[in-house]
Amino acid sequence: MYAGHIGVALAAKRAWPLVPLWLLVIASELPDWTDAGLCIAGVRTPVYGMMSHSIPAILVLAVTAATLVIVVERPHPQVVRTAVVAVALMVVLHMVADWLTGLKPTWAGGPMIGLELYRWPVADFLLEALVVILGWLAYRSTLPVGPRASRSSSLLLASLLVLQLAADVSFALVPGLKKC
Amino acid sequence: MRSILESLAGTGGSWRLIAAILGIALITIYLDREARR
Repeated sequence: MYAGHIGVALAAKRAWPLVPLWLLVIASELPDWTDAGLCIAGVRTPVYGMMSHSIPAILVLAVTAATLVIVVERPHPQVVRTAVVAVALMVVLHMVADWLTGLKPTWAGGPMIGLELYRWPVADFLLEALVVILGWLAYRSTLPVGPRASRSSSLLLASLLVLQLAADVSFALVPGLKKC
Repeated sequence: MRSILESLAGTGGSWRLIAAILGIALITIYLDREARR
């Protein structure tokens, strides 16, 4: 999943309005950031995604993210408890969302699971657009009444949909596009 | 278009991934800040 992860983060902003959106966004993408870091470092595993998207990796990332939040949000003790739960859940939901669109390892020697919607870019776009729209609607309700209909708010939804469309066009033009 | 995407899918794949996730994150955070101003 691509823009759909941001859609989940936007929805989480409604559930935990005190938690900064940037924290939710970064947490929602953390396994992909891990992938990118491993790619650049030249770390390869026999099964791609084992160190970033498998169940044990996700649990490690969730605990790591929660620990970092305790440090980052130390000046805001009223936020820490909810932020810890929120970022850990964001990381776990990344894995669950990717089971819909990709094919991911479970654990070392375990099965690969996923519906691989990326193989059907139109279906992928429809699903991710739905997640983005629902997330944006939830997020919008966290804005003060005036800015809910602002240009920035509308532009946010449009940008996410355009980026998702661009990603799905790429998948359609170059099937099997690799992350790393 | 296809050749560009195929070249990006090669050695630059990890940078393409970083551009994609960093770009979407920055756009989201920036527009949220703007909407709350």
